[in-house]
Amino acid sequence: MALLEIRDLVVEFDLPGGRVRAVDGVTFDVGTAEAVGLVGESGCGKTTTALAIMRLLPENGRIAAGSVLFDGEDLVAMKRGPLRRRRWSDLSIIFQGAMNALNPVRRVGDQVAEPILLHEPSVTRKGAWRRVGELFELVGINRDRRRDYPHQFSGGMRQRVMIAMALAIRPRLVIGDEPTTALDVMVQAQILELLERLRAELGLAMILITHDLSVISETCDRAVVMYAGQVAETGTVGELYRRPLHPYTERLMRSVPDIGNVRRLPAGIPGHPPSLVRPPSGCRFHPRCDHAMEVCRRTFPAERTFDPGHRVACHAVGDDGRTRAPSELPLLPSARALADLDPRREMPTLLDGAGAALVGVDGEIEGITAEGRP
Amino acid sequence: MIELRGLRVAFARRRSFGEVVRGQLAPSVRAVDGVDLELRRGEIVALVGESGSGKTTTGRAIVRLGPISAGQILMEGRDVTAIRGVDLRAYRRRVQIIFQDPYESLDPRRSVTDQVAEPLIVQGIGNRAERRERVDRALEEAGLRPVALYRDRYPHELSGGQRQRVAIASAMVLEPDVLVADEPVSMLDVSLRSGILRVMMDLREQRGIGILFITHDLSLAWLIADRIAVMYLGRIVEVGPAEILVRDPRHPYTKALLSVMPSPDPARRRKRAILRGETPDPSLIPAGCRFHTRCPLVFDRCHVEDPPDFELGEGRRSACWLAEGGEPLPDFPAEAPRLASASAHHASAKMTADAASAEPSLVELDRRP
Repeated sequence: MALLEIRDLVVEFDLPGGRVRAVDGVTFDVGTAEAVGLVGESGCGKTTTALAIMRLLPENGRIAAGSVLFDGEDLVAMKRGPLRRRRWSDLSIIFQGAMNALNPVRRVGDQVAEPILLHEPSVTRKGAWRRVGELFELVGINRDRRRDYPHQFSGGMRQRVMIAMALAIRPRLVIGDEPTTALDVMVQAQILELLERLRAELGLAMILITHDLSVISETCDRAVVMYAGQVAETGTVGELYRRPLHPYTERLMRSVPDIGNVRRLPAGIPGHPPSLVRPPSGCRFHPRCDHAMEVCRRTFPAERTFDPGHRVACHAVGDDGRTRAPSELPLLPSARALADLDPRREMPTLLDGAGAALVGVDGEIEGITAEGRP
Repeated sequence: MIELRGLRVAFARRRSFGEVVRGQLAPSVRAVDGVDLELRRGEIVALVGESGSGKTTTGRAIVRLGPISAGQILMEGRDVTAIRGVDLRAYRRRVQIIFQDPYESLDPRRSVTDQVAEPLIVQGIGNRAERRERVDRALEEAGLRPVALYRDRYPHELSGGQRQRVAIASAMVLEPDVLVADEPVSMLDVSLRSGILRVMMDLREQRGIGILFITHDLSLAWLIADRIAVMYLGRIVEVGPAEILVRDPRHPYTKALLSVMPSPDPARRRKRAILRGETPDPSLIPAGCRFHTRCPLVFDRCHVEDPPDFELGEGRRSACWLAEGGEPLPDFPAEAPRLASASAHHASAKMTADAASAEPSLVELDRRP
């Protein structure tokens, strides 16, 4: 049994325009001391998945189905009281831009001590202060700075404070939601190094959420590639890089420049992620996919497992675990145009029969409508 | 086409209470501290640096937004450092800028056409029909095709990538010779960046414009630039052709930056040289070499003497005493005191981010049973 097991998680939001499924059937595991990356473009449901695991969804959101088993216990079914005790002490989260979440008029040490005092009534004020000192040293801050205020810290140092706070009740799993996105490269490297070291020393399990695949390749064991609220592919970072099965993973991998390797402008991914209010039918990636067939438009591909731990949901992958080349497939007209696309040249406007995908230059897809106009 | 000679920009910081009491002068922040750089016709030069390096201030100075304290900006040999009025307006027609945030740089209440036509109206160019034609051409060049689909839209109807294309179109509608692009893709998903980068490369190819590409991301710079200039605390510490600079950096700062660039290939996880601490405050630029407080290769001379730019041939320049003899940089010593950790997976390496603090002892948090 893995430390964290997420099964068929569905999260819905009530919006003025209707009900939106932001997360639709997400399944993955995180083992003890394992680092798993959650990756995808903005709006693919990465952060929503994290919030659902913590049960910190905003008021208009709810977990509609599925389970989140932590150590075998279902967090989804748990009552608020016990859940609150598990939060921070079993699993905690470092939010995106969290360094701006500190209260500016309180000493940082007191802010880090607060969850300790709340969660462990037996700990005295003095004991908590001492623990904060230890936490600060653990994350690379001089313990004398407990008495400082947030404005006396740089962005990177504030992020360290937030990491110290996330570790305050000695959790076994930490979720980092874009923990380094707003930071300079050198500071980002420091923070990633710190997270890596904490994982090794404390046996922490970690979920790292980012849109940057190279950050995940550097720091994680496995990655879960999400698209439009669903899992496209899961595997070790090595497998996903060397043998990506899903065309989306492949494209995402090739979007990241690899300095010092081949110097070529990446192809990128044509179009942009779909609106979840009216997601595309079938496989949600099909309008942007150069492997798309008629079946992709009609049905969502069943998830299949190839080598242990390498799962993919794509019609273009054969039973032998090989992704067919576009030339071997009966492509949709839109896919044929994408497959023929010379990345240096512009794209014509495309109309694909019934659904009419309108594709602009370099594939900025304009949406799918009956009239062929967005 | 554009040449910067010893450009300096200093801001006066507000005096602290103590400084007022003691009657001291306001401290000045040397945001740009003597920059020499050249941008040729049809060339893409990347200006790379971390926040506080002065790269954005340099870019703004080139388009004459913001003050210039000393030095010169030359355009085709003509000094434009202090031009005003009509001359400045004519200059701005030829030198345009686009900003990082496509969500803030567009007016939400104005349609794409109105937005892109505005510079033409300000410059008093053409009549309605001519303006319309130029707007369409600019949209087309920025990749918003077919133009009819985008012309009458409002910013909220556009994706981030499309907004940035509108921003590019408004800069290009004046058909400038120079474009300063300040982090034009850093707000966009990696999957959408290529499209914008391609537009810029096409503009260079078809129109021969020179582009100063400002970024914090060395791998982006390497991808699209002909030459890279690396800035640290207001000064260009190294400049050279992109490929050569990446393959064989001659300044320890460049070398360290390169080592921490993440790679999508897990097999290429490299030996990271993570510098401790953070870039000092630009109001407190260290004496001697400004990088000496963080340099893993620092030696005595660096503490006292600021290195000049050493010409290294092939258009390369480095401001490091170790480049004086023209030899490649030595490897960083594994146990250099200024590096956080020698190897990427050396888990027990101790580190501290507090430059001032002593090596902290790692406190083992006792695991619960």
